[in-house]
Amino acid sequence: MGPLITQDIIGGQWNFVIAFIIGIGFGFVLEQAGFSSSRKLAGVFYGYDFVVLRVFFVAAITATVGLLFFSYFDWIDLSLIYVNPIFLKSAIVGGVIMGLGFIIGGFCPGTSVCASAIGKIDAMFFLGGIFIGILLYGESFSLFKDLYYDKVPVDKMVFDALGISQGTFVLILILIALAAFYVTSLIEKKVDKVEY
Amino acid sequence: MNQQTHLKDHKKISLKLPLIIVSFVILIIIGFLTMREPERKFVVSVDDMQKAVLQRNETIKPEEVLKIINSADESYRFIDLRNPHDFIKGHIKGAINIPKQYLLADEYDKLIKDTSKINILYAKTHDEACGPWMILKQLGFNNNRILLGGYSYYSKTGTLAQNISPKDYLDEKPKYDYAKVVKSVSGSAVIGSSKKKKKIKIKRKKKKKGAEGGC
Amino acid sequence: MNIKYVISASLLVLLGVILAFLPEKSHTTEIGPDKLLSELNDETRFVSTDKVADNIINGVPSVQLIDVRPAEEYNKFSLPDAINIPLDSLLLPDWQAYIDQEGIKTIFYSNGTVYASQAWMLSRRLGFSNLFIMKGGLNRWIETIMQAKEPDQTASSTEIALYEFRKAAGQFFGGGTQVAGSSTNTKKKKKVVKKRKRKAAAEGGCG
Repeated sequence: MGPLITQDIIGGQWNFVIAFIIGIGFGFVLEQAGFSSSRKLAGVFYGYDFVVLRVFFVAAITATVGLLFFSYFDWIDLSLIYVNPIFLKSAIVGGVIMGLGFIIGGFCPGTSVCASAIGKIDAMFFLGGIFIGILLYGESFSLFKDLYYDKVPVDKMVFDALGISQGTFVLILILIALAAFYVTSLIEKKVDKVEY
Repeated sequence: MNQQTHLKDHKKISLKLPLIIVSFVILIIIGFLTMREPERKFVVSVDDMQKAVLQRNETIKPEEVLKIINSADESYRFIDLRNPHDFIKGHIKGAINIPKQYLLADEYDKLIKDTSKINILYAKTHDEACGPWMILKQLGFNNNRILLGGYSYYSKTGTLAQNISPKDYLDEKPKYDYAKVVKSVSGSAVIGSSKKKKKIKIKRKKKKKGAEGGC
Repeated sequence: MNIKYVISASLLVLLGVILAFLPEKSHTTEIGPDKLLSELNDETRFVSTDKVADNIINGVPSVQLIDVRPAEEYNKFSLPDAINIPLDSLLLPDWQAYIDQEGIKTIFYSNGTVYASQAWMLSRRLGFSNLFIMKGGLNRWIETIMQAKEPDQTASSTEIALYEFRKAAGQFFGGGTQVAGSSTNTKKKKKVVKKRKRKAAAEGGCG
């Protein structure tokens, strides 16, 4: 059956409409989870608030489990889902930059939009910075081109690399997630609460 | 913002959490319940089907069909794949009309599954009966034969004027020596390299109202 | 610990365990009997000889002809720029890339319609798309294009126009020049095989 647009069950012109609706939902959930607060986001790094980790981890495992079951019921054709090609080196460099930006600025790109929407000035500055950064990067792309496209020949999927089935990998992922939730709740108890 | 409202928020979410997960589980249970294997599946692999196609032995000649009709052989059954309109206008005696789009319909299920008789499939042309035969063959039914030439050749031989040569009803038999015919047609003098040829002015056929379709 | 979290967590683990032990399901791109049957009733898979002639004359690049007859017949005569893929080697992996090309219409032809239809059925079952059949095959090609019959005086203008087209096309293909009959012409056209890419959704980001 799915994905609906790729299979032309819903016309391609609905693409943006659906993206708009999902975007509203995404923003709503981010705001509901309190992600428009930079202190909450930074809490992951200081150990007083792990809601960010929990929300994203729960979202990830729920989506994974859902997609795999849907695929099993033939509700969706996973081979039609776009998966980014793997660029290991640029992913590491980008991850470091993103992490630094996260802890310095207190937002990740999505949450900065969310926080700007509720009127946070720091988030608006953050957002402005994002666009300046995109511009600079775009203008100097030729410098980074080699790094950007540098391909390391590795398996694209973790379960392929480990030689286990997709389902087993998901089970392991769930167990890791639950363990992480438990451990982080212990850490939260130990670390002094921060008022915000 | 004070901590109290925040704690309240968390409580709300923690109330919703099990509800969401339970509904998620219910959705998956629904998925399992509604999941069913497709009723029909091809049992013959594409490669085996290709071999079966190349054997070309599941056909029957018009003259053999005449014999079957005359001897009223009970081990055969005629299946007319044309539309009911053509069927009413004329068909082989005793034929059952299954318009080809209803070949796999429930009402004919029993008939198709009854392999005690040999089905002789026919349509207007050999080619029209070929597709249904291939589908049945790939579903594992081996009791189907195609009437060569289709109904049009049956009706020609049906009048017992048997001056029909295999050349006529064998769809794939070359009727002409193509190369010879093509040579015999006077080519225009301009013809040289294929690039040049494209410049020849050809009066283009007027577009018919999209009847061509496809290409 | 909160009982709600325990319930939720155990349900998730349960789902994960089910996933881990679900039997592998083979997802094929093959097309099933019902879909194939419904497509058999779609006459748009047929292309007339006139249309094919028109395509060749105008050098339409997005169309390729595939001759499914045996090689010896192909060598004796074939349509210009046709590729020979005999029915018995249709399913070889090398040829599949030719048959299932992105943005290219594939027209099968043989002496009649039957072999081309069989090639169509086999390829279609494998999920290849943009496939067509030249209705009537080379027999009709000769009858319509090379030996076009002059219509009556009373014929409609479209019939006369069709006849004129066929006559001109017949001259185009006739004369025993390199176009017709020579097997070398197939080598002229360099074929670039584009592997068909399945449509993929646009890149997404997160964050």
